[in-house]
This record gives sequence, structure tokens and C-alpha cells, in this order.
Amino acid sequence: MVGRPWLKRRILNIELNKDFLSSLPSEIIETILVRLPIKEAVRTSVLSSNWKSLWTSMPDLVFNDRDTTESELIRRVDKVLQVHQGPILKFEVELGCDKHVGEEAISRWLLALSKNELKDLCLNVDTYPNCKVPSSLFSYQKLENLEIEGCTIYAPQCFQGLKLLHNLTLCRCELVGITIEKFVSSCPLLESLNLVDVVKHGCLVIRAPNLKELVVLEDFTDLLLGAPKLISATINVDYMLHGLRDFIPAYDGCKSKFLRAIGAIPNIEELHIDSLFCEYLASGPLPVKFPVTFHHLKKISIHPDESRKAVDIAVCIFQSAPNLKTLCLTVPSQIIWEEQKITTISFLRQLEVVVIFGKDGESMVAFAKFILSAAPQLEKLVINRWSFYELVDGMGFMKKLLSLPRLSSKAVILVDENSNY
Amino acid sequence: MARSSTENMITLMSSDGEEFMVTEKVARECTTIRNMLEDDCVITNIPLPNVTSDILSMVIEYCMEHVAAAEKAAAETAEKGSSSAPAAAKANKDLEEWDKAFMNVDVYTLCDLILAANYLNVSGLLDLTIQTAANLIKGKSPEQIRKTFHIQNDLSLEEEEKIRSQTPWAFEKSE
Repeated sequence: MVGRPWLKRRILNIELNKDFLSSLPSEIIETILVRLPIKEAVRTSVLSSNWKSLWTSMPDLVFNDRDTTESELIRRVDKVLQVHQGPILKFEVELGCDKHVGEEAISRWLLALSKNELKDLCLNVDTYPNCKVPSSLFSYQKLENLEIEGCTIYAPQCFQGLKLLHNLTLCRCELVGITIEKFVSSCPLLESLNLVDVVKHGCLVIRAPNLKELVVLEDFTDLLLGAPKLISATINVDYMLHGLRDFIPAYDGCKSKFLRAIGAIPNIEELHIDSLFCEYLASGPLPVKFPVTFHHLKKISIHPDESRKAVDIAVCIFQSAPNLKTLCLTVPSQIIWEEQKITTISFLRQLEVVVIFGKDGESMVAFAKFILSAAPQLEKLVINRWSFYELVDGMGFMKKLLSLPRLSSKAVILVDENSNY
Repeated sequence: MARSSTENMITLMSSDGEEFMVTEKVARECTTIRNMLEDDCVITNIPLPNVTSDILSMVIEYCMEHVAAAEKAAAETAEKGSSSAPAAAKANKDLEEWDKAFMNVDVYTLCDLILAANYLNVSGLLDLTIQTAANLIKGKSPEQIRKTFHIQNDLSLEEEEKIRSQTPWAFEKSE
């Protein structure tokens, strides 16, 4: 950094003890205040008469002090909303464990927020039974970001959707009077969707023309996904909720589960699939080759369970990705990798990083042997660290691995915990 | 610094009459100036009656550093086809360090920089200065904040007590 001799000169010329901060325009002071915890922003009210009510026009109100009791929190939110002036663009309330906010409080807060201003709403209540969110929620038509956790959401009879909504997160929520399908398809601008434990053992249908990012952790029996612009998808079946129930397709159409679930996402670049979702895909008839090609798919992380069918599913998916660069795979222990499974090696052409998870050294070596001998651009073959530690004979495993012939001269073999390549 | 001679140069004039020659690219970091250039592309001399020369020179210093960093990243991406994640992360960290050192200023300069960044609409600098001001307030008692920013407390004890009683939770001793 260059020295600034004039800075000292400058200070000498400035009237010392002049209060520069308070003379900033109030819109600028508001932008400083919203970056403080709300408690500290409110505390500035005693700085001077100038500051007395500056905080009351802050556009963002975030209540996330998890240490307060529920009655105290409700009092605080009520008080702040009562004295607040001007538009509120963002309203966020986060409650700690086992705290309950009644429907009246939530209704009252919503009522105090302007329907024409509010862009961000986040209600995060970690409690059982769920808090109730009234149907007036859907009259906030300027909402762009909505995040609700632990609530029962009531839909109005004449549901219009949220026309400007970009990001939606629903976590442990119950929807009354509306399906997630209707909710999502009534938000035409939706780009990011995050669903955790909303669909209770039913069919999950998502049709979203502008969706780019999807994260699903659900206990669904059937999945129908139509998102032509989807770039990144993480699809996990909630193991804890799923238990031992079977997947029963609710849609008995002519399309296979494959096509229904992942056949209509042509622009996908990143796909993360857990073992139960593989099992789901494996529970129907298998195509020999996946009938859709994922031209844009760069990264797959897929973790089939111990069944042969699930492995076939995994193979089928990555064979359909001719431009794949990164593959993270759990190699099942009971099944020794068979090269014959591979009907096309186009997915190997651009492969740069392969991360292997697994329990059985022999099957992992067999898969590594195949990759090392056939991937011309391979840069890294990574053995997941935790999988490696669990192996009975780690030394012997490593020896075998290092002696394998490598087609790519750049390829290195390493053990790493980080699978984020 | 090797700059192609064909690059347009623009003269910015501070409130106290000092002139600064910058490349158009650097000037365009200020959205206010970018808009002027888009309205009238032959403009080469821009008076900035709201910004003093010492503050303007700092704003230019910031813009130049950020333009250079962006150019370097773009060149690396063009060379290798794709940017490598660790190199990009390091470049980001370097720039963050530079920003941090750049913010080592007194509160008067900080307030003037906020005003200039707001007037010239340099979003990165506005964000940086606002965050720096917030960090100077965070975790401090009202008395400490007054001292930092030379705020004169003109409230009587009764008035202050009344304000405190409105929102007592904000004044609880925490942790």
C-alpha cells in the first residue's frame, strides 16, 4: 500500500471531534444498521437525539437471538413492528428448539408487514406441533425469497401463487389446501427450490420452467420432475422417514421411472443421488441404455446400495454423460466390477477426477483398475479417506492400487477426505 | 503498467480542481460515470463537484486495483481454458487482504469514502466501507461508539432512560 502523507495533513485540517457519521444521509446509516445484530442496531437509539429513531426505518428486520424465551421474542417482535416506520423489505424470525409461536402472533406480524414491499420472508421455528401460517401469506405478491421451517401453511381457496418468487425453501412443513406441485408451478420465476420433509410418503411432482437448482430430501413414493433449465440437482430419499416401505409408483403412465424422474432435465450439469434414490430408480424395469443423453452433465455423485440393479442404474446414468469430468461413486462390496457392464466408454473421454467410496477393497481396486486403464484425461483418482480407514488391509489395498497401469500419464492416486473437486 | 495507447483516457476533476487521468475501464467502475459515458460517448472531461481530490485519488486507487485483479483472472482463464479453483481462491484472498489494508483509515476518511462511493456508485467500495463502519460499531457499548465516531450525546439522563425503557432487551448485558 502506498503511503498517504496527505492523510495526516487532512486530519489536521479537519475540525477535530466533528461527528461525521451522524451527518451521513439516513439511507446510508440504515444500510450500516442492517449489518448489525438487531439488538445492537436498536441500541444506537441512545447515541444522541439524532440517532433516537434512525433504527426504526431499517428495511431489514432479522430476529435470530435463539437464547430468548418465546414470550420475550414475541414481545420484542411486536414492539419493533409497532414503532417501525417505512418499508420492511426483509423479515426473518428464527426460534430455537421447542419454542412455539402461536398463529395469532404470526398473523399479527404478517399484518404489520406491507404487502407491497416485503421481498424476503423467513420463518424458522423448530418446534412440534407445527406453527400455523395463515393463508394471507400468499397475498405478499412482491416476495422473492421465502423460507419456512416447521410450519403448517394454509393456502387460500383461490390460490394465485407467488409471481415474483425466486427462491423457495420448505423444511418440515405441512401444506393444507394445496400440493407442492401446484405451489411450485404457480411460481413461474422460481429458480431455486429446497424441499425437506414436506411430502409425506406421496408422489412428488415438480414442474418448474425456470428452475436452476433443486435440493430434495423427501420420503416420496414417486417422483416426476420437469425442469428444462435445471443445472444442479441433489435428490435424496429420507432414510429415517422412509423406513422399509416400498416405492409404489403413483403414476402408472407408460414412461419408466427413469424418464419420469430424470428424463426431463436436459441441461443438468451436476447430479447428486443417494442410495435410496438409486433403489427407487431400480425398483422399476431397467432400460439397457438410458434413452436420454446428458450433454451438459459435468459432475455426478452417485451412491448405489448393495444391489446389482442399483449398480446397473448408476452405470446407466454415467454412461449417458459424454462430457463428464467428475465422478464420485460408492463401489458396492458384494459385486465385483465387470467391464462387460460398460456398453459405451464415451463417458470416460473427458473424465478428470474420480472419487471412490466403498467398504470392500477388492471391488474398489477392480473399479479403479477399469478407470485407470480406460480414462485418457484422468488427473486424479481419489480414495475417500474414511472409506480407506475402514479397510481391513489398507496397506495391501494401496500397494495393489499403485501397481495398476494408467492410461493417462497425468493420473495421480491419493487418499483425501474432501470430495469437493 | 503497460497500457495500450488506443485505450480511451478520461479526465476526472475533483471539487478542489485537481485533475486525474484514468482509463475508461477504470472510470467505468463508477456506475455514475458509466451512465454518463453511455449517454454521451464523446465525453472526456468529467467534473465531480462532490468529491475532494484526496478522496477521489483513493476511489481511483480502489478501482484500479479491482480492474487489474479482474483482468488478471480473465487472462488466466483465457490461457488455461478454465480457471483453476485454488488459483482463483488465492487471488480472491489477495484482493480481500488488499481491501482490508485499504480500509486502514480514520473514521473521517471512512465517512467521506462512503459518501463518494455512494455518489459515484462503486458498489464494491460502498459494500466494503459500509461493512467497515458496521464492524466499528459491532460489539461496542453506546459510550464506546460515541467515542469512536465523536458523537456528542445531547440527550438528558431522563431522555436516555426513557429510550432505554422502550426496548430494555436491547440494553441487557449479553454474555
